[in-house]
Amino acid sequence: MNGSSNLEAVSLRDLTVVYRDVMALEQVTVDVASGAVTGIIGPNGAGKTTLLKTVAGLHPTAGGTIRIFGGPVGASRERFAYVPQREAVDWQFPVRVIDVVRMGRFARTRVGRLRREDREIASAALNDVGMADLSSRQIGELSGGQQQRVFIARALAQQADLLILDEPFAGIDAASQESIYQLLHRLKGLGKTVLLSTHDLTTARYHCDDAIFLNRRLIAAGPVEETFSLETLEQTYGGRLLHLHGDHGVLVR
Amino acid sequence: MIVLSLWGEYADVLAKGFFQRALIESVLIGILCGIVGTFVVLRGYAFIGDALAHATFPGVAIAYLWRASVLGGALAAGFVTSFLIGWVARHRKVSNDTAIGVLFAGAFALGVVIVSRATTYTKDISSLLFGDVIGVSQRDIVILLVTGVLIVGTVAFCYRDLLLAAFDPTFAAAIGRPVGLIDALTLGLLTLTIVVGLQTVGNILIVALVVTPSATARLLTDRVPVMMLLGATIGGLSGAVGLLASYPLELAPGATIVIVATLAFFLALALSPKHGWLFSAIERRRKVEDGRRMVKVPLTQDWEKR
Repeated sequence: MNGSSNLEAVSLRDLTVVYRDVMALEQVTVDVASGAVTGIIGPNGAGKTTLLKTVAGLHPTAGGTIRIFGGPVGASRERFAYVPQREAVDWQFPVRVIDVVRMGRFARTRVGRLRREDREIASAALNDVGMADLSSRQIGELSGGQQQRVFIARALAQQADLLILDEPFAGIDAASQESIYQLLHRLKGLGKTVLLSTHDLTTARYHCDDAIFLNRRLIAAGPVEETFSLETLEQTYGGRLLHLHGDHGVLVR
Repeated sequence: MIVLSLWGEYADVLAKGFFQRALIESVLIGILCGIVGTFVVLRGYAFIGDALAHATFPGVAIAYLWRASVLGGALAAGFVTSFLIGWVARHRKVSNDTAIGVLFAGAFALGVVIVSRATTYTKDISSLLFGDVIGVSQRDIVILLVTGVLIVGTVAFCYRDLLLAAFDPTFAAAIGRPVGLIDALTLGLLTLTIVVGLQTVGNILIVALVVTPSATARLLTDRVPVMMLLGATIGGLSGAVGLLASYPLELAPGATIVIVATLAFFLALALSPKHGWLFSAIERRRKVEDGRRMVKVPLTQDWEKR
């Protein structure tokens, strides 16, 4: 419960969020361990996006506190990078891959030409996600998985310690999903903390270190081995769960 | 001989002060519209732009009757209507575009009613609605130049924010940029551009000058800075060509400028190397032929190997 501890990348205490007169999150108290890949799991409308947006300071809180690396959100802006849902953006927009990644440097250089250092950081970030050769492509020519990589590269260019990804796997095929998870784990190896939301239980079970089960309230949180139980899943998804036991985990309807 | 004498007459007009002022005004406003229009097109603000242009009309009308500053009247009316739109749209059962639709038509009608009180109704209303570029004074040009420098300077200074808010407002907010303020700035620049452009093409057609050159530029490039440059060039050229063509053809100058810009748009739509009809059709045909060639590969053999 020590709010200033650096073990927690994100620390929520009794977080309550009201969205269009509806209680979107109710008294959520949870910690996100730093240096881990944490998945927020829950059905549609469970408040996953709301939680991430509120942590990123994009939504007002109705109660409770948010700490990022021990500090308030406003003072920690340079320590986290927010990656919106892919569909939030018009991919026909006339920018090239490298232009999007360079936007990651806009937070620090607001006017004037980007410094050479900024350009180098952007190129390195693009290289880190394995997209250096597509640098001058128009973003509309990319596949869904590649678009997500560009977004992750932009977050890397921000040189933040915490990456917040909203539904990074929505509309992305299984192979790309797999390789993006691998990329995220590589970033974890470089000391980054990853917090993402997903509704794909099976892959989350295999690729996340920790899980946060959410359905407006916190259902369970902790290492996946401990939290992935039939009971937790049923509590999270209510009666909408269709489970098939076996090596491949559970399917959700 | 006739052609020569016509040319002589034309050359005489070209040398006249009023025509040169009109030319300078048309080219400058074309360039300005191309730059501001880039963000209007990228943000899908064409309808809002049209609404703003119409909304300025009662201000123009009152200023005209009172012999006050048309620019001031237009600006005031534009801001009052924008404010009213925001206020009305806050009602739960009125959506944003409904509010815009109701208020811009209402404001426009108010302008027409005001002008209809004037004795020289028909003449006045046509010069107000469709612009009067031939009547541009030196003072008008100076105002346009100063406003233009101000607008272009603001765009250059705030380029990153304008770009971010257009492409990915969520991200812009997450890195702490004031997105609401940037949106207001975009609309403010658009209003200012519309107001200084009224003199050239009038309330009804100004939106075309803001949107069309930039939309044409969008078809020709996939980079925002290039789009701005191309938009400004196409806007400026449309201004020049439209005005120069309008005199010998005896056409309304403002409308001719818009027609030229529209023709350029369709030309780009047909011939753009990247997004045009022609090259897309060629590309499709090439793909179909590639497909046919691939079908000729003996499929059965391939399957048997497996």
